[in-house]
Amino acid sequence: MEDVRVSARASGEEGVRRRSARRGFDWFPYLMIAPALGVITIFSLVPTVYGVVVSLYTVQFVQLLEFVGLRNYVEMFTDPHFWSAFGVSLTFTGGSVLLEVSIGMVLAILANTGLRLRGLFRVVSLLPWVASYVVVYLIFKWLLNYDDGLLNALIFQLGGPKVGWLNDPTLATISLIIVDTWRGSPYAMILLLAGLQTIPFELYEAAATDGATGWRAFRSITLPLMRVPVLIVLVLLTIINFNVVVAQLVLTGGGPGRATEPLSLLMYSEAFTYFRMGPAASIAVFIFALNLVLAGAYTRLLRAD
Amino acid sequence: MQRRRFNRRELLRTTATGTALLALAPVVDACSRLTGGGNSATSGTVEFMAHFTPLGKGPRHDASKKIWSNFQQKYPNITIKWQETAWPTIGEKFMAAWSANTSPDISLFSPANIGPVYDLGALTDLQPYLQKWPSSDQQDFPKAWWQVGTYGKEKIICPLLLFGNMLTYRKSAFAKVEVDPSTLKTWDGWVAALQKVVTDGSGKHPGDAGFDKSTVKMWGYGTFLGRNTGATPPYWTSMLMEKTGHQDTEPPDWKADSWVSDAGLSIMQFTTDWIKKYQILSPSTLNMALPDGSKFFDQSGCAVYDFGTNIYAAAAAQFQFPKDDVSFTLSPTFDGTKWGPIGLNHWSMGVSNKSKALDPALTVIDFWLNPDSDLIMSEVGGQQPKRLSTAKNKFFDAPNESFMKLVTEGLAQWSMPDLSPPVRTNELLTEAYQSIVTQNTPVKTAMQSALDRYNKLLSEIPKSKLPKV
Repeated sequence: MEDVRVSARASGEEGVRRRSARRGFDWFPYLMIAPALGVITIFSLVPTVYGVVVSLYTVQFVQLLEFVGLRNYVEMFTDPHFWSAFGVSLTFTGGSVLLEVSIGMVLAILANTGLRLRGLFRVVSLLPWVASYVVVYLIFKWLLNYDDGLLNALIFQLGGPKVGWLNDPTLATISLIIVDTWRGSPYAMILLLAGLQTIPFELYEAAATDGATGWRAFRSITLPLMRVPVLIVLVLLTIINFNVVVAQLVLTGGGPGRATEPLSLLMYSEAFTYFRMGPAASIAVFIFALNLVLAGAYTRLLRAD
Repeated sequence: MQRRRFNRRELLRTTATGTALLALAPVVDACSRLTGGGNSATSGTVEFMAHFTPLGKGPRHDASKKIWSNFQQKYPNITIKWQETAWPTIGEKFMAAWSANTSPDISLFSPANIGPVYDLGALTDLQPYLQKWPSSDQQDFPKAWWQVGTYGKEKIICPLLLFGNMLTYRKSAFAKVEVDPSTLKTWDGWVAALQKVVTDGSGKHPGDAGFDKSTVKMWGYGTFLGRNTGATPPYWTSMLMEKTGHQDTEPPDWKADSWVSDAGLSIMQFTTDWIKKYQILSPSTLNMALPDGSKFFDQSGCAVYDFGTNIYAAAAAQFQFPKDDVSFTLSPTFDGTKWGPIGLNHWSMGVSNKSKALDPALTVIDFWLNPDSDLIMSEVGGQQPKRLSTAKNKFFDAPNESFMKLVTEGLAQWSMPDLSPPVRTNELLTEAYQSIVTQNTPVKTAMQSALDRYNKLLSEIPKSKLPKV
């Protein structure tokens, strides 16, 4: 019965193909990708192109007023706030990605071993990633509060002084990285676990026969074979963290001062606090260009893999 | 069929009757508007965007629910579609929707977002409709109500909530140190009193040798000063008004040179010292949004909080201590000769000029402003009355509602109209405040940097588009 249905469908497709072929062009594949292409065009391509157009104009909210060429870009690159935000983005992204990949790797190795309750371990490890962003950050905002936060209460109980986790410029940056690491490591774990499971077990057996176990096996087998998956995770997490705005908006608002204001939040402020859509769009295009470079690297790595 | 012929006399009579009817039309129209304010469409659908609607929970939502119920009884054929949205982004949402031709018919606006909305030219001038109100209605609203949102001859918004701030304090905290806050008329007196209130684990106060802020359980003053939360440094405008006689940015040029004037710098130094030097304000304030600050007082984190009368009722419902432990006073001044000026704040209704239901929308606005609705908004919603007649109601004599009278009297003595500058200033000032406190940026450097940024943003607005209040 199933065979009959499959062959009927196949003959239907063949019919469409033949009809198209008679007219000289095979429309069938295009017909199949049209819905996806339509969605991508409407929700990704058009806004992206429009964003580039907006960055070349002075804009009153969303009405284009005057074409100014690259003036918004010149202003952006000569604005010290832009460079300080870029620095914050790099620090936050660099710190978060390194920690997330390292902790993700440890978790992935644990999840890949013959742990008892391995399933439970995997589920629990994934919880931070699947929880709502805003809820997670709000909870951390309370945990890290100077006066009645749980962390300071603990420190105080142990005899230490309260710490301004979110009020001191350096500590606020570190706190943001740690919170983001807590949330992002499970994502790294899942991707790295997939990579670990592609490594043939026989390699470890052979290494064990030769007397290499533990750290030696990890250094000589796991790490070399995980090079590409690790690089892919690095690129993906860099893209994700570079675009993060919710963490800073909820936890610190970009403060104290401008200490934790990354490019994404600067763009948000330009657009929705000062209604400067042109400069905001130029920052967006800059971020987009960086993402394009990273996406290119990602694609090359996938091919290499 | 016989054709009817007009003779000259008949023609004259018909013309005269027609002219008379045309002349009477506005009178008839005005008479028909006498009931319920002035505008009386009886059917249609109105979209209303606000941060408190009959859909939500809380005193103001409950008041809206009651007013809506009354409205439905009177106008069963006018449907209101509510869009409840968060207050910090309501202006942006309206502007985005207006630009996409999908704006709600009515939206609420605050001082923070009315400037850009005016600049966009998105609202209907309500003056022609308000002028149709009976004079008794017109005179029932104070001058301040009429001033809000009036640009030149246009009035683009009608305040639904009109409010000011008051210092709300815990009587027990001050009783312990034997100070009566209602007698404190100078800022120095307040700071000294609050330093007495703030006590660490070993009974020391700020300024004492060995004072340990880690062990403070109740801070003196409370507010919210987080970035991107709509915060402004404490009492910035009212202190500047006292020292200079002006607000920090005023029409026609909207310059903010006072930010780096001696007065401006000394005020910023003084209020940042509330955290750094006098230690009456918790550092965690720098990370708080409005609900956090209010909750901080609710949970006894501070002895004094600067409540707006618009949110007091909702906050009081959450107090973790007896309500009768709370009292109110107006803000002090530097010289102590009188109470400080109160900044008039508002949430106001505006009608999109792309509305396809203008008449029903105006009917809704009329109804929400009528005497019954005004009283409901006070009694149920805990809001200050807008109408002078409502303020005379005995309801406001009750001790728990005394804050409304206090602020009304304070506003009558010395108030500052909301000027809604064309560039948002609060975020620039809060950023400067934070960098002074946490990064030890010199006050002058921080304020000059804020002013430079303000001037740049202001220069991008064509002079012809600057609001003429």
